[in-house]
Amino acid sequence: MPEILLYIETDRNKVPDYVFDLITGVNEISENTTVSGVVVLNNEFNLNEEIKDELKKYGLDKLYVIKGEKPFFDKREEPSLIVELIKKVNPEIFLLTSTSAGRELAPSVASFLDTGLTADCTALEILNTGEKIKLLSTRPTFGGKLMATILCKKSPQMATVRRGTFQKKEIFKENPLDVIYFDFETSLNFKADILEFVENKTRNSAELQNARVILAGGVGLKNKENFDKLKLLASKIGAAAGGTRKAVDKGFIEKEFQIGQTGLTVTPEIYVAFGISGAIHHITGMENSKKIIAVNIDKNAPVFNHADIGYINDAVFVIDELLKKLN
Amino acid sequence: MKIIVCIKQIPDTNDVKWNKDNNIIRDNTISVMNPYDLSALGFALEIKNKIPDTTITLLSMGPIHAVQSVRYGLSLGADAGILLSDKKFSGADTNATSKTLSCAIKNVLKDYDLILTGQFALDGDTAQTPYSLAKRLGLEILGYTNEIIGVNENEITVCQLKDNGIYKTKSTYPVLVSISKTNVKINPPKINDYIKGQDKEIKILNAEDILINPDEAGIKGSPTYVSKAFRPENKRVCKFINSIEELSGEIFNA
Repeated sequence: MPEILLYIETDRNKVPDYVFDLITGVNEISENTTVSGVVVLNNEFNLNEEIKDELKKYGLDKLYVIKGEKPFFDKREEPSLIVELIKKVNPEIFLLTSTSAGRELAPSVASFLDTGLTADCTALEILNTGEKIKLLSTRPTFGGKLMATILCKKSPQMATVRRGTFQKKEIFKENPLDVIYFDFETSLNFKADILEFVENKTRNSAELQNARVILAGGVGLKNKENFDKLKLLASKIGAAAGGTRKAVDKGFIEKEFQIGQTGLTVTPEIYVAFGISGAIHHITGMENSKKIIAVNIDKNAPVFNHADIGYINDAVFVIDELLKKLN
Repeated sequence: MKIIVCIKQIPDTNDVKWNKDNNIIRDNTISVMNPYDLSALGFALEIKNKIPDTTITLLSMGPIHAVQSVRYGLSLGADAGILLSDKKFSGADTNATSKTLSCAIKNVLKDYDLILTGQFALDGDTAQTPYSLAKRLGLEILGYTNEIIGVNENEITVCQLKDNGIYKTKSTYPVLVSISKTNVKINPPKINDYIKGQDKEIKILNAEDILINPDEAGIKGSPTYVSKAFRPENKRVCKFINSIEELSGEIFNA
């Protein structure tokens, strides 16, 4: 059976939810394939029964386990370890999530193997013709103005997949998870020294991606104080706060809260855009939200073309009024 | 110090127009230097300020009109420019692009300490070329760099901002650093800088010049290809409301 290999990313001692989303998704779009995963162990991540059960529960058939030498935050040895594995097991397809780790790992592996890689896909299709399987990866380009479906002539066919593309679901499989250990010799020395690692303990970006309601601000909010009000409003109603790239560039809100093409992609139930004009780079990161509400003083702002509900008013004034209502 | 800054000229993505076959209408579209690459150049200029005998060479690949961005980079203070332009390079994916750039660096530029690139390009947004280029040149890459903390003739220390945290990393040369920040301050060129920029040399090189096998470049050397392109549908129709009460109902009572 053709094999689809997935990168099982780890975060400290956990496997993040988006990995399970990808496992389920690949099961849903393919038939008669082996869905396998590769995980690299480190000083924080150990493979326990609970994790194995969860991997199987969401649809993994086979797991390759490689022992790494580096601490959990240093993933530089992973490309060569994974290349060794791919050379041994020859999967037809290798998929990763487009986190910063996935997007650093994937192009390194692809150039080691001299194969093709499609970045940050938002839809996948797998055609199975018996022996051969073909990966059709669809991704937004030109800031989301055009969608392109991309194929790869070489093997393995590789893609990174945007978070939120699939949702994890329990998938019943009769056979137990097949766990295979590999030990690769790595005498990799790195010239660069990581002098310090400051962990992003708040995991704000994860919170943003799991939020049911998101209040996001653009440069229409004018300054950091108004963003702090937006954050306050969000915390009062159990929502998460975010911002556009321009707002981040101006220092109104931290980079980890950035929504859009070069930031996070979010799909909440309700997305409220305060003072966001609606540049396509931002829209592409939030357009799959269930309901979009836009507040902007400019009635011609493009954001209204992407909203279900529009309110023409000064966003800062509106935030103040909403805060008053809550008090 | 010898610095190479890789730059890409892109259509202004807020201004792209398409014909009905989903090809870009290039006439009258505004082209700009990818903002992440502009930041990379900004960092290079800061280094040049600190270490006076630094030279900055711009390296770009694209159609002949991409010379505009190279010229602009020269007016900002870069010393020399190379544009790789050849029909054989067109239609390249990130794999073929990185091969082409690596041939120019290995066979023409040869001697360098630091390569600076943007992390992303706003048109394609793959963020793959810097990694492939590093791999092909046998370099380490300091990705997602948003600050250069320290630099001297022997080593560079950067701050990398990734999903799980902030890395402070130091490396000796040669090394590739990709920049994930778009708002690095650059003094806009004055008229004199434009004039100086006109006098600086831009080399336009083809496949033969950089000793690349034409089968490895452009569309021929690209393992990926576009099988179909389509415009995303926007199904939303905006209903306008007129009061804070209605708005708070929509947000709070959901």
